[in-house]
Amino acid sequence: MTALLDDELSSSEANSVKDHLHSCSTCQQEFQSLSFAYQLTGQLGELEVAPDLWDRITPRLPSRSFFGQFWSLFRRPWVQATVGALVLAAFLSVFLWVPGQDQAEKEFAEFIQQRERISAETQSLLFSNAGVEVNRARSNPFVKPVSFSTRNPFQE
Amino acid sequence: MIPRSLVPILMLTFSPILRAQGDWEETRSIAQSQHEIILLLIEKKEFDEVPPAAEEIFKLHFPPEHEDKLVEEIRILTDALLHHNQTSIAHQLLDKGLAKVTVNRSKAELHREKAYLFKREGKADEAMNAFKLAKEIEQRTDP
Repeated sequence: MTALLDDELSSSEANSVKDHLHSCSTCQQEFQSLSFAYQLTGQLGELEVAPDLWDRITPRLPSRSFFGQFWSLFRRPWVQATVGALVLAAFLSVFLWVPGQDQAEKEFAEFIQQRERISAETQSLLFSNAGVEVNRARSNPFVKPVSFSTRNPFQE
Repeated sequence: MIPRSLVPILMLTFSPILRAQGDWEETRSIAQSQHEIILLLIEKKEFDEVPPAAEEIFKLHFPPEHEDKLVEEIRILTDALLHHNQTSIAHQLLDKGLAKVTVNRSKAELHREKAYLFKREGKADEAMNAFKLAKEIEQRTDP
């Protein structure tokens, strides 16, 4: 009914409300009362606000405590959402974080790098075209070792 | 000169050491030859023959102080097999080696080898797990 009085309805919506008002006495009474209130408020002129009104109001307002300020800030939805997300992230990180995980990965990467180098040396020693048999003898781990990666360990 | 009366005592004292050295010498010599045979088989791409030939090494007795040579052998064979993309045979040899060795350090080394093999196969999770297991075993003390 307020939307009708404020001319916010489309013509079809306005017509359907008017049709209802014709058939429903309760709503009709309510509408008349509302129309009267609208007429009265329409007769009122705009009040002039004194320029120093705000200056006179602010000293009479209670000063807000830190907690009060915090609470009023916390009541904002975006603050609640941010705090909630941070709490959830902290909670999950406690369960997902494994001590030493990064360290193990670092050590593993170093090991693989070192092992790749040894592998390349061994393979070049075993399968290089020049002097395959000599190289193979040198790579036998059963030979008394001179260095870790090139000798047969069982050869003396 | 050693007094004659001390000879039996000295023999009793040193004979187990000399016998152990002789045993190891025999083991080492067999393993050395077998290593050459296995590498020849790999070179000739007769990969099916590799596990039985390696078995001849695994059958030998390796005292704990010489287990590092067996580990080194498996590492070299792993590299040789990787060169020919024969990763399943390499895994087979590593598993045999793991069943054979007794020293924790040797076990850790072989698990690290498995980690490397898994990594080369593109199995990152298995590689990381094997590496972590190697670290865990390495921290254990041998009985």
